[in-house]
Amino acid sequence: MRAAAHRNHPAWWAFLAHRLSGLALALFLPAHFLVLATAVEEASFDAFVAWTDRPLVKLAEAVLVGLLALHMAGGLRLLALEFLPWSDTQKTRIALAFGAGFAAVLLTLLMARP
Amino acid sequence: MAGLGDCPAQNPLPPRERVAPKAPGEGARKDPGTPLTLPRSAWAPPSPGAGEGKTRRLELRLFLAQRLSAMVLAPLVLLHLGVILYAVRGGLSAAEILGRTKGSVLWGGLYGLFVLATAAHGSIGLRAILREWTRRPHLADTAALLFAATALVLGFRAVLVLT
Repeated sequence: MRAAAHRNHPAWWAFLAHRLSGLALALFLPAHFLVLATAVEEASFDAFVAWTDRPLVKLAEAVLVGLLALHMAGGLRLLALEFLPWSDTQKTRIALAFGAGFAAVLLTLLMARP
Repeated sequence: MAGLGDCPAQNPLPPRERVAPKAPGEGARKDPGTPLTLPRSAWAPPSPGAGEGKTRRLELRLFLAQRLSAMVLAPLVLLHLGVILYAVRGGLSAAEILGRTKGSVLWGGLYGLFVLATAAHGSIGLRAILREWTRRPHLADTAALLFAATALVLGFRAVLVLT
């Protein structure tokens, strides 16, 4: 696939990141709700939590938290773009959105440290 | 993938209004930027069968609902990120979560609102993505409704179990 000129811009990557993170979060949501409801029986919830206690799952969880932060930051950027006066700092805002996502990943990994 | 690189096609506002919307209390833009001059077919969704005006009204409502739910979700997501960081310290447990949420009207209310806004936001977003990437509007509508119903039922069940 030849990269089109309009894709060679941070705003296109911001659009793609926002879309893919939103899609991933939407697919994750029903599973999240299903697991939460198992807390009605504490043992089964804790058994599931025990299963998640492995490095790859922990990493996946942290990435998911990062996607949530990224999607929120990207969404705020979109709202600002659409409803606030135009500004020349769009690229900075995109960088901030990505930064928020990565910060959330690192923080979650740090906090979840045993 | 079709339409992967296009401008947000779900925005049903005419390009002129998108560049300079007339919101109350909003000052003039410093620089209106490059006006979007794409033809209508490039950004407006195809109208499947229904009358043109009716379809545009629906798209406008969904567009506004998406922005409104985003504004509701932003502070809730920030709160949720804080709760996650707080809750994962030393590992999760059902007792710890239930101890925090059981019988709490505040947590129940906040997370109930969260479920509502998420179901709306997720289904409208999913619909927009499917419309662009599959170009099958009926499939997009069906999937969006299915997602909304699933998220509402499972979400409120989880809130009821935890509070």
